[in-house]
Amino acid sequence: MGLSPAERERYQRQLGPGVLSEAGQLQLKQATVLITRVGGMGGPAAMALAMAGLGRIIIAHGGEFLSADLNRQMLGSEEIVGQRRVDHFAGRLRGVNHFIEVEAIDHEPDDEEALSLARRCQVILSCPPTFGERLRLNRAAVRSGVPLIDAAQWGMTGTLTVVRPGETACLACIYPELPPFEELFPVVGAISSAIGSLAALEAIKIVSHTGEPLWGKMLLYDGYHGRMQRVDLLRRPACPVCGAAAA
Amino acid sequence: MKVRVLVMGRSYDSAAAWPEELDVSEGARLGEVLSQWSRALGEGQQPQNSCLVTVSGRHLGTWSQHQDYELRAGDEILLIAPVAGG
Repeated sequence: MGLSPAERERYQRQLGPGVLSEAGQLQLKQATVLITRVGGMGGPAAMALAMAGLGRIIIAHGGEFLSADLNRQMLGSEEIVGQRRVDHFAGRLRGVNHFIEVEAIDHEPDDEEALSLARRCQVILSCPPTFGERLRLNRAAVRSGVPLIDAAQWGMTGTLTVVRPGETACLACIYPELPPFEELFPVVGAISSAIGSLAALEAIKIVSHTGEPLWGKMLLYDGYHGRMQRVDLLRRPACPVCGAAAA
Repeated sequence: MKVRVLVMGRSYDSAAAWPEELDVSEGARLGEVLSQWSRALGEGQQPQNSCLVTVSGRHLGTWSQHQDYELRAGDEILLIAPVAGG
């Protein structure tokens, strides 16, 4: 099924040279993406993908919304403080684009569920607060062969890593030992939305076969010092997730 | 010859006072230079083992497990303290 006249009107500003072809827009419409979680980075990423017309967006995020989340979680509002967040977040996404479907999961998927969800998707956006959860999504992505975009932040800095399973380094290649976890990490919301938006752009490029995705690279933005870097990531042959032994 | 050392990621604030340029001998190996840089840091300022190590845009491993590499004048060593945060 192609794009309707109403959809063509909705997306007219992103169709054309240097942006999306009609075929690319149709690929977005037909795609499914998993975003976990939808806080500081995942929220803006989900919003950008909803506005771009990504057909089915699955969001996963447990717990109740806190006042302290409002410095960065743009899908929240004063009205939902103290309430279960994911249903409200799903409503916000549906509110910006009635052409798309949104599924809401009120918890962080375990290994089995993550793999099952990954197999339904064309791309996974990893935006959780712990490396344990990120590595779980990475395992699901590698096992299912689905690209993974990992967005991370701290203070005024952020990183974006794009994994093409079987061809580039995966998260387990670059984090052979678990980095320390800091529950109440400092963060300014402006970096969250910047990194989240870049993650969404990578997803749009991958799904619509547009431009040059950051395959196998880490993009770093240090907003504190105004520095940007791009790194070619090294794949480890002995990686327990994507290396020869894993196969 | 001189090589530059930059720190990005989680430690950028505490790394502000860390040395950004090192004088090293011609043909210096990455491990030697990281040790020299580490000795210049104060107590309790050592990078985490999980820090990524890159040279001039090429990822070579982590602080504790990285490939050997012969540095050249003008190389930039980038240490990335991994960040998560949702």
